Amino acid sequence: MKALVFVETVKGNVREVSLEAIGFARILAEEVVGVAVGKDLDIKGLDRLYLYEDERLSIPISKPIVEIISEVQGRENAKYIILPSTSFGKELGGRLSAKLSAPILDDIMGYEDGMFIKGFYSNKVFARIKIDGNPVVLSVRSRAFKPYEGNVEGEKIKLDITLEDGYFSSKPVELKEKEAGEIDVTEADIVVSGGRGMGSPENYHKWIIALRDALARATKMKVANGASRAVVDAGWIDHSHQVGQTGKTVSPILYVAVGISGAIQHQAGMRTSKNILAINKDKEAPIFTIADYGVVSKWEDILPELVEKLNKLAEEKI
Amino acid sequence: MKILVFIKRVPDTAAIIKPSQDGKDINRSEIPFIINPYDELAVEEAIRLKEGKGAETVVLSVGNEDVKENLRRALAMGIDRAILVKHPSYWNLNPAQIGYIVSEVAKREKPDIILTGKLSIDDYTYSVAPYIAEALGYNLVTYATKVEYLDGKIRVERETDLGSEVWEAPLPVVISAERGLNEPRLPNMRGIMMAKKKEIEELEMDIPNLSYSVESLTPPPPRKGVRFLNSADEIIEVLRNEVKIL
Repeated sequence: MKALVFVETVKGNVREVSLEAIGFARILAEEVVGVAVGKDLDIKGLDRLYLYEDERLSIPISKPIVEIISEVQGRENAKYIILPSTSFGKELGGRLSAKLSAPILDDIMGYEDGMFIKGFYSNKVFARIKIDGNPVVLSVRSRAFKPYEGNVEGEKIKLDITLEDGYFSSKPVELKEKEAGEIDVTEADIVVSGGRGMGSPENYHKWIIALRDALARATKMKVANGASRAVVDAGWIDHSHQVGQTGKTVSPILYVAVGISGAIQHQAGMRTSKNILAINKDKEAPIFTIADYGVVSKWEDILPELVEKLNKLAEEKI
Repeated sequence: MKILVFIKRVPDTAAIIKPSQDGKDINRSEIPFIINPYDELAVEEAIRLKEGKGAETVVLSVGNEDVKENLRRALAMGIDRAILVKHPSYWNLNPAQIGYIVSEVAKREKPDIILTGKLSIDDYTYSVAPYIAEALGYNLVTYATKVEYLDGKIRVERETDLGSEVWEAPLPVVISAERGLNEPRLPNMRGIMMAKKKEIEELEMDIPNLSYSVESLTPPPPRKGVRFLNSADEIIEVLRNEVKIL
């Protein structure tokens, strides 16, 4: 069996979830080929890597890239086409499904007994799914699979294709990238989220960010700040930070919820976290029904001290 | 100008969802259903465009009789007419089949703009909007948080996991709605009365067979239960020895 993985890069760097997609492909198939946009990539786990270079794709655009992936699929005839479940990967998935008349499953988080596992109804239920076709399009949720760690490194093949300008009719004209150091909640090892219990946007921006940065320094991990729907609706922070049923679904090593009561919609977005720490002054808050660790306290009585101690730890480490 | 909006009927976000006894479905008869929240943003955006620039608006869904409730709501909000492609168990369709249905209806309706949500919160798929664009050869802009309609093209602010961007695309175009696009209105009494008179056209359609089946639905694995801590030192202790990140 053969799998074809789209390796998503950002400014020439391979996204972590692309490595996880290769790890997943290695579970599904004996032979794994990759396709990427760029001049060269240093990456393991692929028996062959097709590279396509085009300066018009410094910002990814799905229509032309689907053309590239289809060209490689035409040569390789892979059973599975595997994508990272990123904003861009999800867009490629729908297009490939249409172009190749293939069934699709997005946002897979497990594979067991020949069945794919994914969260339905925002993780309120886990679904086991059988899907088959020639090919099948799959996308893998960030942090669901281990990145490939072996030493397979195959040949690199330059793709010599000319794409007409018509493929670029829908395109970006302006960019506002995330601030330096800001990591998307879906890609973070640790997510620190604040809710209405923080009292004000000023408190959120001071103390949730302080805890985020202190944890980043003390652990050297990727840490992101998240938010409940209530504070996103109140305009404290933009909705790209929202965790929950109508926000993002996260599965970090540690999820910290501060001043979040834990409505069922919020739980849906974070219940697959490995560890959950909740800080809330109300002992009856529903967040404590799914937390592993709880602190019943006003945030003012615990966050400043926690931040200070983490910062001290970080200093001692260096 | 003509706008087609695709909506899906999904369980209310506040619903307690449990697998049914045979584990093949959920407790469907016990819970309230709504228009998928992202699709509702698409409905609102279509109505605003109609109010601003003038357009014919059509709402489309797939499913059984129950879905008419949601189509009526879109009509009550201000959409002109509705189409229901009949399917008895629409919740079991693969996103590719849903995409096919919308594309086939679009071939007949020939809309300039197709609007739908970025995500369907039931089977958690993002694939329908890009499927439609590819199948029809329409332009595509996903994750829209603001749409401006210029002559023959649109200008869209969008938000991805890498930041925000502004895109331009000529018509015809498929747009997928992200939260922040607008605040959907509540239907008023006049709208509700008008909706009762509006037509819901019913269509039968042959859908391509795909090998796709939900074999079982189970509750998420239970969590181990909470242990209460009392100080910053105890938190750090746990982060070091149990979570093992320090």
